[in-house]
Amino acid sequence: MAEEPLEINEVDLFPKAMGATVVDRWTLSSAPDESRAPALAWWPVARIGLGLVVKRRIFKVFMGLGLINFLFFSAMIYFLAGLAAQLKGQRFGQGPLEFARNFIFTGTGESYRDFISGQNIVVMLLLAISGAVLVGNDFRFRSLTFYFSKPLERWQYFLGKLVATSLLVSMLTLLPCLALFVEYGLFGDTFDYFIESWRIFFGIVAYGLLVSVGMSTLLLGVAALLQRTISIVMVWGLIFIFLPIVTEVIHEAARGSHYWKLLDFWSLLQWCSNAFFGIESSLFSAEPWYPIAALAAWLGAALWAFWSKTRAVEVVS
Amino acid sequence: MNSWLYLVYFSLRRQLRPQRLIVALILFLVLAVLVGTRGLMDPWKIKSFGRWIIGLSFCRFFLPIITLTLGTAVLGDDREDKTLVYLSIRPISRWSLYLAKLLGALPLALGISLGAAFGLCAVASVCGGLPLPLSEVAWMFLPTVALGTIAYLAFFGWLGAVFRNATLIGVAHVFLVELFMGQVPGVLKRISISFYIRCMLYDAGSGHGLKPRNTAIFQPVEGDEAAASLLVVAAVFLALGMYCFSRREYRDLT
Amino acid sequence: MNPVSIRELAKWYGEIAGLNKVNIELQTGITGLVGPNGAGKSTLMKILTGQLRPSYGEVLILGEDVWKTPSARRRLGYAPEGDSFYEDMSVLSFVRAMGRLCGLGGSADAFAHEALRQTGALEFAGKRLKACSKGMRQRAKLAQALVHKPDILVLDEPLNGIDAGGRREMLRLFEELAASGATIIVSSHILEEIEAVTDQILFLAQGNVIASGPLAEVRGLLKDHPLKLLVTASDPRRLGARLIESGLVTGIVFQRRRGLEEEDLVLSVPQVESFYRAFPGLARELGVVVERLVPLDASAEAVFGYLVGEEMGGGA
Repeated sequence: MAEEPLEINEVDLFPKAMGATVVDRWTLSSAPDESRAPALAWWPVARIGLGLVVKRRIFKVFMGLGLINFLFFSAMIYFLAGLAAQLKGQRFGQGPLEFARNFIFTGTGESYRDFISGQNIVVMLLLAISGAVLVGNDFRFRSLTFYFSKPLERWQYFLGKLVATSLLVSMLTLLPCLALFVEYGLFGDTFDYFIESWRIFFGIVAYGLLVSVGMSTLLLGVAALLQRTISIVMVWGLIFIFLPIVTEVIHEAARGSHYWKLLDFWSLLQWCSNAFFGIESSLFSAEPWYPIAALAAWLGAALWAFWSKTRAVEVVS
Repeated sequence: MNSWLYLVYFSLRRQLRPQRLIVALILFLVLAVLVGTRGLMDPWKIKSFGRWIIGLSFCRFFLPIITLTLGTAVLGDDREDKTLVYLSIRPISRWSLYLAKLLGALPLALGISLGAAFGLCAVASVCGGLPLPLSEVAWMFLPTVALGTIAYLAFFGWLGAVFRNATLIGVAHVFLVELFMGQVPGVLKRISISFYIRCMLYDAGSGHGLKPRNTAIFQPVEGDEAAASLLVVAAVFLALGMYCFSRREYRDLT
Repeated sequence: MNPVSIRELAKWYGEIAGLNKVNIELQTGITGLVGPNGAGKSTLMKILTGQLRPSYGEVLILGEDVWKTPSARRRLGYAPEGDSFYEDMSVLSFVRAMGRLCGLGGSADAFAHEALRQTGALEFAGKRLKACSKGMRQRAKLAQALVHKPDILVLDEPLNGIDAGGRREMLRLFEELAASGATIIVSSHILEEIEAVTDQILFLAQGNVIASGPLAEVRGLLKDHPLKLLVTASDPRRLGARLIESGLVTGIVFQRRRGLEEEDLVLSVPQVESFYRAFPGLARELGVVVERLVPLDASAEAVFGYLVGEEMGGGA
């Protein structure tokens, strides 16, 4: 290498390295003096995983689709608030207004539950596609070797991936739902809505987290097991489209026997949402341990699948 | 010719991936268990079997997913694994290479779809109490399944030739166009292949009360017209696929 | 008719020229393809094998356009650079399948065995490609390129991952194939090995062919870079003085041998042929014993360095 030149340019540093990337070593970031605590080693995994997903164009399309639903609810709240202000005291428009209040957005637990449930279709699609990108490719292209050659534990790798996926889902469910909650409260005449609806707030957080973390865990298990996009999509479709149809058909035929609903992940999430928002539900009201156990079984199986597949080296027989 | 025929056979062999077949088998078994269980509790009628099982579960979920898997894998597997180069440097013209790969996927797609449909009809007949003999039930539904398979396979094959992320786009198409748009009022639904499949189903089962819930919104076409449309769709997308593959350069071959 | 004819070839990727005005006629024998990253070697190879379509110009393999006429590829064998295979297939079944796809029919098995024997892959023929090491996979890749006994072989980095002994075997194989009439185009970063077997070398940079021909001839054309010769002689000072007087050299460096008192001469020779003609007589005239005469920068690597340096405009 040349002695320290007075004037630095690319040719001086690398006269024959045509086509190579020239590194201006005078502006390289210095080695970090403080290193991160080992307990936070999962964060780079989460950050990189999230970055991999969000920079793909098709995910922006799905994010857009999810946001459409959110924007619709948001606009409806604004519309109702404005309309109510204009029509105060007038009988005209109370019929449709009442209809809109009852069936569009009422600020009750059902509304927030329905919003998140409405987002679940897009979330399901988004996760089906991101499963291969976030997790499947690590296994298929043997990137795990790189991860585990660093001082990274398996649980930290799992946590990183879980956080990345959960954040994606939260961007479509929990966060917009919280925004709707705040918006609805602020369009009231007082701040009483926030005080009176504290249970709704915790319901939003709890249900949002359950949807985010629960679906993410399920995805990680499926993706680790199957790895290829189309196989992940098939199983994902089986869980979220096929099984609901199957259980509904059997539920009807079985004269309303609701134990079949334990096979339907959507139904389990719905039961949990009713519990979080304090909404009365006919399903499993006297037997809460059934849906809890079923949910635990789903998530446990996913965790087991992920854990058993996560190895630095793949053994080929 | 020998090498082309071998390519058809080679493509068929490559499609026989255990993971995919197992998942397809699981999907079929779930559906079969449903059909059998529900049939034991409450015997099937042609109308309910045709609507819930063949129409909804099979033709609008199982069939598109299976054909999506196999159709996009025609080129998608080789592109993903970066083995397409080994085929593209052989003395086989591009369009015939594509045709061979698609024809290699066709027997498997038809085998799975027709086999699964026949299996469901058999389960419904044996355990589910269908009022008609198995042969009549099969004859009622299998031609629809066969034409639907061919149309979907051609479409997804074309998708694989044009788009790098064909699987993702195919998934979006299945859920957004086939499942969702296939139900909207007006003529918009006619862009979905599932519309014509349902028209054929309703036409085949019309003598047993199988019909759209709301004829005013659904506005079905005649069964023959629907069958012809499916064949045209298959032919058009096959031709498009051959054309696109023969013209495109794939820089991601290696 | 030359086996490979490339005329006015250009390839554009949008606004970027991957190849520009390439005109090459390749004979039978081994041609090395040398160039830095991004020079256009892979693009050239992909166009030669019909994977990419030229933006301009034509590429003829035994008189046929390889993009338009698929049958031209019957006499072409290609080993790509990438490490991708049908992983679940065994080495033998992979090579056999590639042979069948070239129209070998029932004799594909025999041809596959022969190709595997040639590349030293027969001993692990039954092993799944997924379980093979890099070197084994490289041999399998070469075998699939050879299985149908092509007249033209295009090999992209064929020696990657193969151990030193294996590389010598492969180079010997290439020489045998060339001797039997094949036209082989090899790209490699292991220049010293390639220059040992190649009849001519193509130097590419920024999409252009900047030099082509036998290495010695190309070296001789680099007028701005006189050949550097290391001479060990009994009386280096007298010899050096005489060489300067004669005008055969443009510069001399007296280089002390490490740890010894003796000196060597490093000569800058502008006219190589004239020097070689005159030098023996000159040394005899002085009574100087010449123990060693070694070119220091006649290797492909050195020539490559000079050419690339010139291309950048920086010189050496």
